[in-house]
Amino acid sequence: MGRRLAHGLSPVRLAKRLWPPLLFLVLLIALWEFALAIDYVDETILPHPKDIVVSFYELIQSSFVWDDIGATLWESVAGFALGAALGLALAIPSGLSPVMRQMLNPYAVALQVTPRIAIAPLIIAWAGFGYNSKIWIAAIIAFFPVYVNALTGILTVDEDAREMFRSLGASRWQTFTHLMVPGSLPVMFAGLKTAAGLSLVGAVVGEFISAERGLGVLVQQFSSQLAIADAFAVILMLMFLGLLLYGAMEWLERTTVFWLHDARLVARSKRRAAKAQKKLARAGGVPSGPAPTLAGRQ
Amino acid sequence: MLSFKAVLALLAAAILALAVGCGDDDDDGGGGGGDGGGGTQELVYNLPTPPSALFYPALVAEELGFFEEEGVSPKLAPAAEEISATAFLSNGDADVSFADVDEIILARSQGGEHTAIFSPQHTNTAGIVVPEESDIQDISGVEGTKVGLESEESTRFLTAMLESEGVDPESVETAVVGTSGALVAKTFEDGEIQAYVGNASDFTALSANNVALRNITPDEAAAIDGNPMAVLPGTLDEKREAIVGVLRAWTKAQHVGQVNREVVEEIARKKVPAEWRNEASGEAALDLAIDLMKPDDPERIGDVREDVWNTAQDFLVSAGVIEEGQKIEITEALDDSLIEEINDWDRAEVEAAAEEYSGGS
Repeated sequence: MGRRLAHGLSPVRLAKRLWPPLLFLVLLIALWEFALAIDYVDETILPHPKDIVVSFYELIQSSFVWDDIGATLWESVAGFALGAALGLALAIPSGLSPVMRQMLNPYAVALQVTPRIAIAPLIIAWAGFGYNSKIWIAAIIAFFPVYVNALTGILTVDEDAREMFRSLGASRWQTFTHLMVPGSLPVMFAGLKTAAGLSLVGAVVGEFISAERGLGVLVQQFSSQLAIADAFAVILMLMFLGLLLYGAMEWLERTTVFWLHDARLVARSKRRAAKAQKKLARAGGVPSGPAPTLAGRQ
Repeated sequence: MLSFKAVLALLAAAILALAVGCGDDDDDGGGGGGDGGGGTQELVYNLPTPPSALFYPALVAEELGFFEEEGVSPKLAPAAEEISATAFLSNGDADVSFADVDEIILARSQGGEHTAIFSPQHTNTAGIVVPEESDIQDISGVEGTKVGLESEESTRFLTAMLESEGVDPESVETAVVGTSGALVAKTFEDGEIQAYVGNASDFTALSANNVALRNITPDEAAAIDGNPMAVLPGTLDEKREAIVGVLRAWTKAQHVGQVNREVVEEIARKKVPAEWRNEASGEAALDLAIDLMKPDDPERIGDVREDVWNTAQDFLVSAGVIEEGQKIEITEALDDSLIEEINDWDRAEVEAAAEEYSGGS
């Protein structure tokens, strides 16, 4: 057990999983260095990978960059939360009422097809110079994938299951909470994962136009000063932030929609069974033995 | 138990409350102003950059306590060139705004009441450059070439410069190449552009990184003030005391830059360390900022100069940005009533404060 990692992967399996992307990274860096060596790309445009790594290290060691990371992270997370909340709040009534759907859908689509970069300066003029304008831009970009996926999830709930709920006399509330919500969660989470990444894009777009701090500000500053390795290092930070947000949603999905992941389902079943067995043992009437699990599903 | 519809309504109401809660920007921004905490007066001012050595007086005034001394608490509201600086005054997002001369003239020609009360840079921050080894010697030489632009907004400045020298703007091809120093250097190197219209800070960053450039901006255009401060008459009446306080602190700090570069560098390194990641660019930017803020008359820092504004207006007319009939009365666009008051402080005292900071830190 000790040789297995926390998430259940042995070092051998982990290595097997990691070598393809690592090999691709090595090939990419080799190609990159080759392009620089033969002067196909100028160093002022594309710095050496090692320079970017050094810049990255130096920047995270410095004190000032953390304020910028904090600002961008806050704008992204708050924008995502607002966009997702609005998306869900409008998707639920739209999913339940055809009239609401007809009323809202054209505007949701219109918002989606409007290039958000074009309205960003207007949002800043409207919402002010502080964090709020960036949060709103991030929210507007994050809104659509959540709205459309949540709506699709609600509308594609299994008809047979719906019929069964009806025949068992379930109320609308019971049907909503016990069938529609769990049924739509997988699709909804796909939208939330997309929105998490997009909210970061929105925050950086806002920072490009008007901000005192943030990683978008740093990219611009470094770029105009020809500190290109630093600019790439900040882009790397943005990538890690995006991965962090995506990873958080992935984790939330695995935790919430556990029935889609066999290993989690088994673990949950085992936990429940162990708990039940303990309870019974405390009551004193049931012989201890291996708890029934769903391990056979594996 | 709540009904199904009630739960949905509550959910929607909660979301709307959250959204509305985000509407007000309490942390910064907003032209509310007024009396801040501790008796200090707030003032929201708009700059075209985030905190930067290019506008070193803001950094120095804060660090040396000049704002506090004047009982003011200014809040920076930075916005890129994409948004008109005068628009922020009109919609109340800022109390005062460092705009461009042409923005103010344009706003007034369209019925606005924007007034310039302070002009910290007596040199144009915009200009046109060519590579050092280029055959182009002056603005007339760009005829028939391709000129790179910092942004689409630079078109009218280029047009005005060409018109002033009798060159047909149609004979010049343009391309927006942005402000990335690396990209501008590359487009020059590849011969994609033969000249570049941009900001002095971009030119110095390039020069500091071994991209030798030659400035061919016509003298008339180069003399136009960069970033004068605009305000609406109503705001000036209402917040005159706060505006005077901020400008007094600003002029003190601007003076420090003219007499003690070392202190300004020390403060800039502390306040905006990101600008010093590339040492050469940082040094060049600070030198440029100090040079741009050299006043015509050291006793009247920030003076507004009527002749320069008349030149700027003629430029706009020649570029076709405004019609001859739309010309404004320049004297009405300028208000130098604050200049004396904001320069009325002891130079020696300020210099001593800077010395003390330098020795104490």
